[in-house]
Amino acid sequence: MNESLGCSPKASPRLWAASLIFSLSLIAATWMQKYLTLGRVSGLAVAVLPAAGCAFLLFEEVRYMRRLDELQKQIQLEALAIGFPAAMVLLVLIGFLHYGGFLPQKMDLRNLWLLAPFCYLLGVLIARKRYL
Amino acid sequence: MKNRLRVLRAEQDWSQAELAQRLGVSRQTINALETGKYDPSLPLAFKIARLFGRPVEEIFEPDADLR
Repeated sequence: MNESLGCSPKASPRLWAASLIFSLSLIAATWMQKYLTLGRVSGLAVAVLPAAGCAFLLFEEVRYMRRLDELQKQIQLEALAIGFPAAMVLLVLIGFLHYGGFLPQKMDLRNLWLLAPFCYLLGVLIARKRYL
Repeated sequence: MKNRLRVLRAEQDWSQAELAQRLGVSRQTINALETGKYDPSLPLAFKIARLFGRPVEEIFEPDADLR
């Protein structure tokens, strides 16, 4: 088995840790922007905080992908091929519905990016069903 | 593409996990190969052939429309 090479999707505690750090940085930045009075420098630091968490997650994701075997890479490729366009279609649809007045105008569009990981996970499920 | 991977593995009395370890892939990949859900790359096919000491064409057989 390739678990010894860190090849199994289950064998990546570093990736899970990076996901957790990114999530915590998002929650912390959202909370601080909402409840704290921030100056120009501290406000910039808080605004950049999730990007730093995201960069760490990206680094771990690339590291993880490079350790996958050929079938696992194929699954990831198909997941992205499904997830990316699906997320684009949904984002465009929601954007047009929002600006067309069909969705509540108070709706916060900042959190729409969350659709992307959900679409990617959907892609992973579809690709895994095909091969595994 | 059809293959004789399951038969050859059984002859060696190896588990899927054992074969996966010898080939440096995941157990799921061996299962997908054996069930015909996934065709290996050329390097992996040669690695399998070398491991079992047989020519590639003795392990992998193309579908009827490719023959």
